[in-house]
Amino acid sequence: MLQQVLEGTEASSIVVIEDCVDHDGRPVFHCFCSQLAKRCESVHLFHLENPAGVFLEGANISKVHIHDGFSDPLQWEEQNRDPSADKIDLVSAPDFLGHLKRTPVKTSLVAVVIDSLTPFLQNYPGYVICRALQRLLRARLESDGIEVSQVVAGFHGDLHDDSTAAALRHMATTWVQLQEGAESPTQGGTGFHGNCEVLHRRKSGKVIRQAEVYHISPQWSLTSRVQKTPVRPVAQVEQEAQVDPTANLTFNLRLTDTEKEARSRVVLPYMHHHRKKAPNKPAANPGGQIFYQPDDVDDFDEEDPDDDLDF
Amino acid sequence: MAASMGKGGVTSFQKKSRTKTLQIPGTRPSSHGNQLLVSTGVPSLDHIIGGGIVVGTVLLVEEDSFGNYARLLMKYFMAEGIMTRHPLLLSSAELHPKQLLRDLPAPVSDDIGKAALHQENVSSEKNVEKEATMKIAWRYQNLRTEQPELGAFSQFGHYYDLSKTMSSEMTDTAPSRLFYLPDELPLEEQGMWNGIRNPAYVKLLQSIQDVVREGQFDLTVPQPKDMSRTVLRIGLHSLGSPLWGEQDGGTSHDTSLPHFLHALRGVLRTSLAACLITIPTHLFQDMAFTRRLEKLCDSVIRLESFAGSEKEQNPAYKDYHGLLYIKQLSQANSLLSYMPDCNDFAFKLRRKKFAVEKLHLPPELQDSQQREQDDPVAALKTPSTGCFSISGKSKLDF
Repeated sequence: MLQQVLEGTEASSIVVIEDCVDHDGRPVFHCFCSQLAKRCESVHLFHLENPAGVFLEGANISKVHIHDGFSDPLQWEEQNRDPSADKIDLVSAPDFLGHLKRTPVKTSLVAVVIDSLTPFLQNYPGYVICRALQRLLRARLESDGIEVSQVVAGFHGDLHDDSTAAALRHMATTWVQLQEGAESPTQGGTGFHGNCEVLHRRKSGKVIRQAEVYHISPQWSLTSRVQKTPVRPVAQVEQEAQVDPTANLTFNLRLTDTEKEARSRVVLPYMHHHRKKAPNKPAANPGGQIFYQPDDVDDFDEEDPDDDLDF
Repeated sequence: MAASMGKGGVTSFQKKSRTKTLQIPGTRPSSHGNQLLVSTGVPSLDHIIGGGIVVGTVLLVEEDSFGNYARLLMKYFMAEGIMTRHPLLLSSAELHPKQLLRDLPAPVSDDIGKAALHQENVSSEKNVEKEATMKIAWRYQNLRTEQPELGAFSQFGHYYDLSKTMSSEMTDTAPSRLFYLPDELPLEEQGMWNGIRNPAYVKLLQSIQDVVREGQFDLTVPQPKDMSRTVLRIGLHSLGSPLWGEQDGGTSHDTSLPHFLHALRGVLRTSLAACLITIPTHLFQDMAFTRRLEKLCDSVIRLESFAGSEKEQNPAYKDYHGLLYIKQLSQANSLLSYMPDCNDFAFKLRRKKFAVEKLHLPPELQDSQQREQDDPVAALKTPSTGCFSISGKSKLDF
């Protein structure tokens, strides 16, 4: 499922990658960046926690627009307070769509990658970020031409409380929760692998929850497969030994095979009785016919006694 | 009184009362009191909440984790409103209400035929001038001239087919007022809000009051006697979600949503309107906040769907898609609310229909466990509430 969402076979408007202390979400994030750079016409990267270079290694940089929230988010330096500079500042409420509109080159299909939502969530309540994300998705209605096809956001599960996580989970169409992971050094470089749980909501309403294992190659391509949960050994109910009634008897109750066959051929009484009397008649509609076998003492007279009546 | 009712609520039996009882298509009097009921669109749900939603009250649906079934109930409610020609007011913050209205289930086809027939009759009737007052048969004066025995518009509770959507001419011609929060709220108020009252709820309440006043649903304002009255259906989808500005899951002492519900009930009590609200209460961390909201609404049901949870694999639930809990039933103008005979309901969504049924535990499964603790079916046999329930594991059983 993770691979399908990454490649775009499963449509998902908001993807949230939740990582934890044990498992860093940056490699998965990087894969998303490079895939989106291949798939979409332009990618807007809002980076607040890492310098942009971390995610752009191996990606097509011409398609990526960088919105810098890393170097000076609180705008301490004088030159960054100029509103025309495309810097994110945490002093005012997050407005992702505003940043998108300010970029000079407007293309139609845009993907937005946000690393991560934590600085925003630490300064503003959860609903402000939810509203800002929703405005991004409705961009098509507001502005001319821009349509956001996918939003990928990082979220640190350890830093926020349950209600914020629940609010974001309510909004997200795909929620990837990374559980364990490590580097896997290979010959070409370092890859990564790990376990994750993916909760995906389709537009039709179907919800899919899967535990998966993913591998990231040094070239930043991700493959994932569903992890089969180890089958818990079902507590074997020991079949009570069926008591065999034909054992331990002084007489023989068992049947041999020929005897069983003969038993199945026995004609029971009242079963197809008429076949014996009229073997050449087809047994059609046995329910509605009356079969009369007169005994010897029956006086079967063909005459109709009503013929005598004379008025 | 209900027993003598014909199919459409047109009966010759009239209670001796000074005020003329309102005859509104698509509603029927409740058998519990002098109240009008409107259908929710799902006849099985109507049955368990006592016949329908009482006009002037609020039915709160606490959403399931992904909101799918609550959205479906909202669609049924709106579709029923279109079939009975009640004006609609639909509000939503996430989905555009037009999108919701575009996706309504289509009524089962024989109802449409009757509806078309009735529409022709009605248009021809308009040309006939008003009848002179009857001198001899004056007891029949108040009855309607046409007998819409087969008309879809006076029938209570229609059946819908989920695999088809309602035709766009039916949805476009229906009188409706749509409230889409991002459009109604000015841009500067769409970020963070400060102050005592959430501006989103204030705006919504204002627009509801405007519609009630303009559409003449207000019962306190005297209306000319022969004006045909109808019931306004208000649907508030996913109120209280983060997009409405609800913060911290109810743990912050923000009283905007309880205040809104209280004011809404005040408006509804004196108007001919029925309201269905869905709230995602699973997002609220504070149970007390949820309880406050429940107490501020008249009837409350909670949906719990099995999708994506471990209950999906439970063999006892394999026929159903979720559970439905009745938390509260409306007690408007009476001492006692309707008491359902059982409290375990489950719903299932088949391809064409959404139905609510009593939860029947399946008979003993063949591969039931040796130990009763492991058996999923036996674990569900919780003792029913009541003084005379027999609990299964009492030591005094013999």
